[in-house]
Amino acid sequence: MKLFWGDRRKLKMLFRIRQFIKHISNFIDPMWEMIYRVLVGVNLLHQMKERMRGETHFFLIRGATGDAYIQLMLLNNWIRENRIKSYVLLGDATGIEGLTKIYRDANFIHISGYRAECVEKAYMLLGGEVLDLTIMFPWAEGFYFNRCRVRMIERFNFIDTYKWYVFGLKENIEYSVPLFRNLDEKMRSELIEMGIVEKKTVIIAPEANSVTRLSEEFWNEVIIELKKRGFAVYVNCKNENTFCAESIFFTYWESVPTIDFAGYFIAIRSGLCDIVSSSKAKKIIIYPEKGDFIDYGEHRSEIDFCGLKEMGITDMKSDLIEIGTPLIQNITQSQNGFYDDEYYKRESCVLKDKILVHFR
Amino acid sequence: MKELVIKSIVYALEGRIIWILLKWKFRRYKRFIIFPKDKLDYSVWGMVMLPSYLKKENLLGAVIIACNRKMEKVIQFMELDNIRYQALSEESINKMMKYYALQDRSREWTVVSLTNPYDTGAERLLGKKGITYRELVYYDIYKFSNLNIENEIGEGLQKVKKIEIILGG
Repeated sequence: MKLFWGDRRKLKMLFRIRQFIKHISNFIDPMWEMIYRVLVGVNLLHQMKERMRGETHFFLIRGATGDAYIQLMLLNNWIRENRIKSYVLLGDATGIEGLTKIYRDANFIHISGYRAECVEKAYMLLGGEVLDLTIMFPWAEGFYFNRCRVRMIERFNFIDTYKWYVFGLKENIEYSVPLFRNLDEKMRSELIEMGIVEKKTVIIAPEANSVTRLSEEFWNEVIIELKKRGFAVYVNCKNENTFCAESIFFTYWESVPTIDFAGYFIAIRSGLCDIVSSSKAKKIIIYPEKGDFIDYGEHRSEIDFCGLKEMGITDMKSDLIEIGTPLIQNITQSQNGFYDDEYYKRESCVLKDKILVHFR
Repeated sequence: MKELVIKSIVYALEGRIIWILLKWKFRRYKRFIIFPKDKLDYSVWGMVMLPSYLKKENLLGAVIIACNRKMEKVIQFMELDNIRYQALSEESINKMMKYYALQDRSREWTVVSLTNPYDTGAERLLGKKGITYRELVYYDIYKFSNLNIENEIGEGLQKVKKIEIILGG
């Protein structure tokens, strides 16, 4: 539709008025801002529905990539059980776009973080049934009312959270198989050109959003020892690489074939570990050790809750080693400077030995 | 849809007025325990666990707001001297819940429900690995952490049947 000059000015003015109201409402009373958000959320879903021209169910997907990966793995079960003809995933996390490449049937529309919050607010006031909306992260920060803690108690593991708590699945559950890039001759050449030695390269992923980090010194000692034993070592990290190994970057689509080709993967428990759980490489995943006190209102990253074997998302024949250590904690329970030097040195040696014993 | 949106917003604004009046009436109290109309199990376990909850939160007293008038008999039966009771209609409590959907009142309100103002999803865990309403109220509403429910709630468990009869009868 061609817009005339008058229409453009009108649209611009309406946009400015809207921005002004949004700005002013923060100073008058936060409740008016919340009402405005509900209206924005409702309007967004209404416009999307008109665009889709049919019965469309909406999923609001936000948050960590690992969570999103597992949810996309289970989503088709919910679609089947609820006889949904058409659906759309709405979300603001940039990692999700990378995931839609490996889950080809996921219809994803990116929206801003503010609009995602507006959709959440509309859900809180009106409910999911009226809006034809399912919230895939009901534990997100914006949902303050009686946030679920029972899903975190010892009876459950992480996959139960998605199977039952998020989706309420009843029937035989099948995991969708993601599609990764084929490790063909072309990809092999690319990896060799990058310096990856087939089955003799270790890729280290030292970062995680929900778990504290091991020290740079620890990783450098591991890297030096691995190199002495004849392995090429690369580090996959978003932040500045201060380790004594070169960086390596890959998309989710290329993650599994890259790691398969390299042969070895060492990581702190993170969403990336979920995504590469089907890799046939030797994988060493490091988890925080279970503490004396668990806050069920927050995140848990221990082996018995979110271990890949415990969750059943890794092949039983897969070469997976899972190690718990007191040197790292859930980010919500971190206690910096808790350990004395002697204890830290002792536990560092224990962890290093547990890792290096698999590299001869 | 438009009518529902307007009605919900108006309800929320009315709920806010109700809260302002309640807050003034019970201005010496820091915590309000609200029982929207819901399954009987929430009311029963909500009352059974209440003394332990007040102890956990170091609260000297609280105000119960409910539409079930039998709640007063339960308060008498449990000999809760430090509890005030305010009866409200189901509609008034729902208006307060609509207000809660827009503004976080968790610091002052404990709402004994997992579906009002919105579905938290916790009820989907009922029946899974032995989860009952008892666990939902214990972990999600009153936010206890001790895995041994019997130890934490103690004598309250002996009153379950009687409270069930008072509220359900």
